[in-house]
Amino acid sequence: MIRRQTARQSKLIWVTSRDRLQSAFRRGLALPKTLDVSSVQANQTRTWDSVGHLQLVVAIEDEFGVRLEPADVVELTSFQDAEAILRRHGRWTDG
Amino acid sequence: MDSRTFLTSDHDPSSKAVWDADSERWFTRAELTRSMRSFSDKLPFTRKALGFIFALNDAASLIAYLGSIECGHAVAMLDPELDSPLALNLIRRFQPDFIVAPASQALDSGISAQYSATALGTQHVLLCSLRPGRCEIHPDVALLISTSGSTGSPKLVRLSWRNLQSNAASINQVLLNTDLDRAMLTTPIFNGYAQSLVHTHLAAGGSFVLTRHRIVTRAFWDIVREAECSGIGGTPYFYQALDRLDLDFLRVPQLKKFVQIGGRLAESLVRKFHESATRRGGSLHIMYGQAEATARISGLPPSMLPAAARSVGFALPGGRLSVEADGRCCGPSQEGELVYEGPNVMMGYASEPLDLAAGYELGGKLHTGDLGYYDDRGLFYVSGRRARFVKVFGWRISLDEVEELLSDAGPVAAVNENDRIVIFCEERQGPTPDIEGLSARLHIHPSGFELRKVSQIPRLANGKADYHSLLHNSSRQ
Repeated sequence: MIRRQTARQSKLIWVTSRDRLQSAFRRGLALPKTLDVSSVQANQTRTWDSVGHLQLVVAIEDEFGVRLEPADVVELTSFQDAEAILRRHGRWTDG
Repeated sequence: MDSRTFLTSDHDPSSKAVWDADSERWFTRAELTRSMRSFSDKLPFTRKALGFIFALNDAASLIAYLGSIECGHAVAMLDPELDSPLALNLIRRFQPDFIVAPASQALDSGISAQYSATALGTQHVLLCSLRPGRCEIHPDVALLISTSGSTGSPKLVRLSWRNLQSNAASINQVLLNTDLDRAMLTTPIFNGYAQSLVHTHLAAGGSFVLTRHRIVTRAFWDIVREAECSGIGGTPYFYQALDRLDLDFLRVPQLKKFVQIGGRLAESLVRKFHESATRRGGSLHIMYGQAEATARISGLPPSMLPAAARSVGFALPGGRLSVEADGRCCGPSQEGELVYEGPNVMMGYASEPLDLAAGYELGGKLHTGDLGYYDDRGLFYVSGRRARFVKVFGWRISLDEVEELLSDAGPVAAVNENDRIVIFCEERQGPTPDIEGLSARLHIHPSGFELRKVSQIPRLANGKADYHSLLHNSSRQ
């Protein structure tokens, strides 16, 4: 877990890597805020087309301050893939 | 020019023509011709018929397309994922004599009652009208392309065999395509660019590869490598993706010929891909075109890169580009509307069945609706669009049709801002326009749209939305 200061509330709250990845998925794939995105897969999500794919990559990079390699980009087909990629880059802090 | 085929030419019938990644097989020219005949034998029509093909990137859809046009019918190539009310609307309007669609595509029962269905393999179905031949079609019409595919625009571009063949020949001349060329298709085959790849490679004796995998997947690039593709191309969006994926990482050294179409690619990426194409012994071809000119209008010789990175080059052989303003021809550096003349200029539009009977209405001269100019060397540049179309992620969308799709929510105005569609609505109006629903219907990622509220949409004296002042005022905020 890491502590993150949200701009609006200006107080410290605990945010898990999972929460952050969920929010990156919602942003990148334009998914509803209420949707549990941890089971999302590329071939079952309408907004996960080629355009959505690159938006998702950028959203994950922005959220975790990491640059994904081409191999990561072509392997990313599910929420679980994203978690595995972030673990490989040492950016997954949930344990 | 009268021969109506791309296949029965001097090319070796046993040469490879198309790799279908779905069924993992090559079709030789002879096999393709045979499959096309066996498809057209299923069409019971005694006179020229109109077909709608909701095409997937697979052999069955391709064979239905080529089989239909080579036996003299006229075909509209359409998006199989077209929102179903939009598809039904098109079918009701044109009442096609036959329809080819994915078997999974559900048709309204009112419509399916008017057709008899035959399975085409396991994935497609052929529907033939029980009352065919209801509209007159000009003998030259071969292909109809929607002017705005994902809005299901009923305004179709009418193309003749002469259009298709002359454009294919000019493109082959400029790209030096031969029987050694093998292209990977990066867009759906209902799209004009993919059709031009099909036509050019068949005409040149080369081959091409069909897949339904997306360009950002490992499977797509495995196919490019294993099928030994030598050429690839796409929209600016394709090159942005390719930049992210990194050409070297993809291990496709045999890819040498790169073509860029569908709007202006950022100069930095033109330079980058020119350099990487050159380094691998290949070339980058920047091209400009429109469905109204069959596919391509001009091309930039790679030897003029990187210096002329912002230019779309010269008119294709057999064509002529000029610039007009207020009905007069412009000199160098004067901006005006790009006007193209050539054998690939469409016959005209068809918005209803009666239009299908019309001949060559433009006399071979096309006012493109694009603004541009040329320089002292005769190189052409596109500086903007006059027409109300936007290329969102490479897809051509009609702004007027977007407004119409949202009109239930009250007055809206759709404008183009940097290849995204900004939709203005009025604060006081009841329901907010459903942007997510719009994105779903058009199959365009939601980030291609933005909703902005204004107190009132400014109007011109004629009652039309004042788009200029909308954009001007909103960008100042």
